[in-house]
Amino acid sequence: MTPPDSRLPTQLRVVGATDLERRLLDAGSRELPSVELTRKMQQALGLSIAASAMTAAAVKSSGTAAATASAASSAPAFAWPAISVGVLALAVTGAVVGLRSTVSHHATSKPAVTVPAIVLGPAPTAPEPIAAPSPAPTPRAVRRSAAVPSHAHHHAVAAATPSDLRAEIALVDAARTAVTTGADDRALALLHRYDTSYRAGTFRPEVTALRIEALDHLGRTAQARTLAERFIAAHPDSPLAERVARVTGTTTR
Amino acid sequence: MLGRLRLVERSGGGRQEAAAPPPRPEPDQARLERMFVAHHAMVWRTMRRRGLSPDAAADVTQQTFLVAAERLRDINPDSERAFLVGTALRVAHSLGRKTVRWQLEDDMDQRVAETRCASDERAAVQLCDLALSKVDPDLAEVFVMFELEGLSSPEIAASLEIPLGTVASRLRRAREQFRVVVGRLELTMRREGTA
Repeated sequence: MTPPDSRLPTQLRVVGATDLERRLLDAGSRELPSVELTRKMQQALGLSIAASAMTAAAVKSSGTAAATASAASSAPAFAWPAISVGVLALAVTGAVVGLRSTVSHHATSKPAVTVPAIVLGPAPTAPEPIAAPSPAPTPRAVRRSAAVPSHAHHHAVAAATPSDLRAEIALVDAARTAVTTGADDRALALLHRYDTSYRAGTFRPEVTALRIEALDHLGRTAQARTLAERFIAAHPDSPLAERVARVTGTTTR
Repeated sequence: MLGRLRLVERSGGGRQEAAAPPPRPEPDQARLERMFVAHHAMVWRTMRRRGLSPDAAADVTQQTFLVAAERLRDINPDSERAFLVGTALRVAHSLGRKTVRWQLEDDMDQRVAETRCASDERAAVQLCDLALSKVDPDLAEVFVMFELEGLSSPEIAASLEIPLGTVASRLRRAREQFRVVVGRLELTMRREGTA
C-alpha cells in the first residue's frame, strides 16, 4: 500500500522558500567540479570527451542555467601527493624516485586526501567469460594516443610535464584500484589505454606488473607467466620482480 | 573487457534515449561517456553536499563510474541517475563518516563570520553544506537528491532502496530540519551584519 504522502511536493525553491533558503539551495545545486578535477576523472576512467561538451553538459546539469565558474575555480587542485605516494609504494624504481621530486614540487600544500580501499556494493552477477584473448586497441584509445605527445625515451622523465605525469598516475591508480576490487577486465582495458597513450610512459614497469596480476586473476596464467618471465629478465633488480614472481609462481634469478 | 565491448556493439546492447536518440545502438564506451558528461557533476555535487572535499568527492565520483562501467548492461537507461547516486552513496558510506560531517556546533558562527571575506557564491555553498550537516544524514540524502538535484520520487526510492512513502516522509522531516537551521543562520547573520 502506498501512503497518501508518497508523491513529492514541489521543490522548496519553487514554492515557499525564504530568500536565504533559496540562495543556499541555488548555490548548492550550482557548484561544479573544477576543470582539472573533471579532466582527472575522465583520464582515470579512460574517457576522452571534448571540453566543449563537458562545459555545456555541466551547466545544463547544474540546478540552474546560471552556473558560474567561481565555485568551480575555487576548488583546490587534486591532492596529487596522496596518489603519487600510492604509486610510489608500488614502484620504487630509480626512474620513479627521480620523478617523485618533480611531482612533489608541483603538488599543492593541501593535506593529502587518502583514499582508503573501497569495498564496492555486492556484485550482482558472476564474472563474465573473457571472449578476447588479449586487449585490442579501441578507436578511442588510438585517437587519444595521437593527441598525447609521446615521450621520446623512457628516461626522459624531466621532459614529461606535470599534467602528463598526473594523467599517467591517475590511469595507473585507476588500474590498480580495478585490480584490487576484482575488476580485472576493466584493469586490462585501462592498462591498454596507458600503453597506447604513453608509449614511453614513466610507469611502464608498474603497468606490466599490474597486467600480470590482472591476467593471473582472470585465469590467463600462461599469458601472465610469459609476461612475468620477460619482466623478470628485463628488470631483475626491480622490487616489482619479486612481486610478479610471487603472483605467478615464477622464480627470480 | 574489450571482447565484451565488441560483442555488445554487435548485439545492440544500447537502448534508445528520449533526449538524444543515437542513430545506432549505443556501444558501451559511448554510453559511459554520455553518462559521465550528463551526470558526473550531479554525482560530484551530491558527495560535496555530504561534506566531502572537492578531491574526495571526485574520488567517489570516479569510483562510481568505474562501477558503472562494469555494470553497464545491468543499468536500465531510465535509471542511470538513480544507479549512479545510489552507487556513489554506497561508496561514500564505505569511506566512513569521519570526513563527511561538520563536527562542531561552533562551525556555524565561524562559517557565518567567514562569509564576510569569501565570495558570495562560495560562502553560500559553505553555508548550504553547513545547514545540511545539521540535518540527519538519512534525511539529508533525500533532501539533496530532491531539492538540489531534482531527482524524482521513484528515482530516489530506487537509489536508496526504500519505499516511496519513506522518501516523502524523509523529505518532509529534512525540510523541517533544514529550515530550522537556516532560520538560525539567518538570525546569526543579522546579528553579525552579514545578512
